[in-house]
Amino acid sequence: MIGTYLSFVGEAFAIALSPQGLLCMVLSTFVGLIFGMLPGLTSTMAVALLTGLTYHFDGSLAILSLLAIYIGAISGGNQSAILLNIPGTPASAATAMDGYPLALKGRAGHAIFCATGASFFGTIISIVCVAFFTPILTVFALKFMSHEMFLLAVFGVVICGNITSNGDPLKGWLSGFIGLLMSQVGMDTIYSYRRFTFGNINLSAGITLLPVMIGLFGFPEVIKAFGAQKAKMQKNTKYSIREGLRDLRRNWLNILRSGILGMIMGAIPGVGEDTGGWISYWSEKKASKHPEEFGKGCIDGVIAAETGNNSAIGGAIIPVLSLAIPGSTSAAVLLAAFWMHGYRPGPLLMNETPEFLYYIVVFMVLSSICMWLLAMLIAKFSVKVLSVDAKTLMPIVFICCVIGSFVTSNRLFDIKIMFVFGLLGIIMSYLHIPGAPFLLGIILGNMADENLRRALLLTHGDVSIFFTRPISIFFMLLIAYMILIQLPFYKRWKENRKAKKKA
Amino acid sequence: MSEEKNTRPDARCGAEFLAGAVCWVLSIYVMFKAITFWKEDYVEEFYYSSGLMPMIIGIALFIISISYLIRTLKEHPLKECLSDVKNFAVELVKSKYVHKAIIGLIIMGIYIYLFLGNTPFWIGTFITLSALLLFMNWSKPMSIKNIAKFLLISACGTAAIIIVFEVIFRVPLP
Repeated sequence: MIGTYLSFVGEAFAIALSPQGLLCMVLSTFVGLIFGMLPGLTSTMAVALLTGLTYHFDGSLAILSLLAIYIGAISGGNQSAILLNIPGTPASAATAMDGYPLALKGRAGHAIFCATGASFFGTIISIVCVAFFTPILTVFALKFMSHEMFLLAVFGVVICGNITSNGDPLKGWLSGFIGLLMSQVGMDTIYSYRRFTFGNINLSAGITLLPVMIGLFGFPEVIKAFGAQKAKMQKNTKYSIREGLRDLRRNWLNILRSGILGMIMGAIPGVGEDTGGWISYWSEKKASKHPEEFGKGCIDGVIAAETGNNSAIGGAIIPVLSLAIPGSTSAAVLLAAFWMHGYRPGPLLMNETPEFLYYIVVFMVLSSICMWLLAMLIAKFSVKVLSVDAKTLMPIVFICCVIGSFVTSNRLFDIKIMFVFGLLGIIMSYLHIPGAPFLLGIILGNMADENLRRALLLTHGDVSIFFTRPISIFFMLLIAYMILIQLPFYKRWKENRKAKKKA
Repeated sequence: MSEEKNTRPDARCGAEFLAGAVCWVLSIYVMFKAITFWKEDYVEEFYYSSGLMPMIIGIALFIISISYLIRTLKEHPLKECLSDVKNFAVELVKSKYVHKAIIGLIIMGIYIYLFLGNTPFWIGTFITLSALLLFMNWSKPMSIKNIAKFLLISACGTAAIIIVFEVIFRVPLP
């Protein structure tokens, strides 16, 4: 048994350290770092674009490239957050809180070194959790029956709507259910009956995920460039390795706590890296003996935020591998990529393709090492990269979006889908309606539909199955709780209770 | 930056009211179509027909959109919402950022709906990149040097995209 697992690990190393593998990993990490650095280019966009571009690659090389670009993109955001006070990706928003003040004090290089080191350690912590928790969760997931898979899908959409909507869950749920509706377009999975196709043969195949993702998340950023202003940049990126390592060593508890918190945040569907960063930052501030220093250039804050956002990467991958439910939007794209290359994440992963988990673990470890080395090498040049104007870059990004939408199915129709959903993304962005629940709805919609109808077919329409098994009762109560805590009368009751306690 | 802030409209009760109303209409349509799917797919029982999930989604959207509308109308009376829609439309028309964004979207739309598939990729891409770069970076007065710079960036960008994607990665281009 252990011999088999070791052979899987050996295979993964052989793939990653082959000339092709090394080239893919280094290039992808580098491109990911650039994507992460440049404001307006997100990790989701990077992974989505590369998914299309690696469509014709060998499966394991494609997965290696995608993981490398994902890790690079999440880590790369810290450089623009520190030098420009503009997070390169939403995940680095918390890093800017203390990173930029440090840069103003002439310590940008030190901040970048510690941030990159923290990113590395955060990713490693989450990889350990992936290796440990995924097989456990997979065993648990095998106990799920069809109606419980349906409830899991609904739970994913509801909790994602709760958490990503900045205190306005109605908008999150609206987004999620419209996403579920979009997933119903095309032939249904049981009878192949055409739904919402309006006689269009292209819509019979359904709405492809990748063009929707690129449109929803890429387009608003391209449009924002029309109003973009050039930001002031700090240019001093010198650092001392000894001092950086000393600060990282001093913050070992901070790194451990932020790593675990970030991993948990990443594992919750739809939450992702940006929440992981903020929760870790907040937690370190609470635990610190000098919380008043946070926001004024405290290196502990930078380390906490970067550890948290990077550990969310592994956290987001855990439910992808064990339940086929993405923990973040980038993980959602990864899930689509896994399917495209013939891997079936989910409860049967450890039975059908047990080597896949070990490939993921090894690829992530090597990509993290590659990221740390590359990030330190290019820190001196990131100043030049960051001085590229968004107005010059975004038109090229738009063309890459077009190509990325086209490559999966070689259909011009997919590019049109990308454009239409891009317009929808702009409207949603304006109305502050989050896109993550929408994406989750599209991903989980067919799973929910198929499992619900299968469950009811087997029981001849008897809905009592939802109330007889502990797992389904648990999910029903959880969904009810998620909805209840957002209702006005409950919030009022809670506020009255708080006021009574204070009085 | 301050000029943008004054003319760029923020999401407001009018927009929220419109969004809620559109979602409500959508939910009614979805529920109606769900029944149509059930009638047309030759399945007797609704609980395993193609209309089940759309009906569930339609009902959920109906409840959410009604709650959204009620909440918006509680905070801002209907008259205020409707006049806000009017003000919102006027500000949209006046906003320079919106004008720029719409023209940019038109350029992108022309590329996607007219150029792609009807002209060679490199021609359509070069024209679109040039148009977008010149438009986004337009400043008065625009010197010949700057125009040449952006045309050169477009040409290099188009060439780089074709070399990287078509030649190196062997990715088919539209």
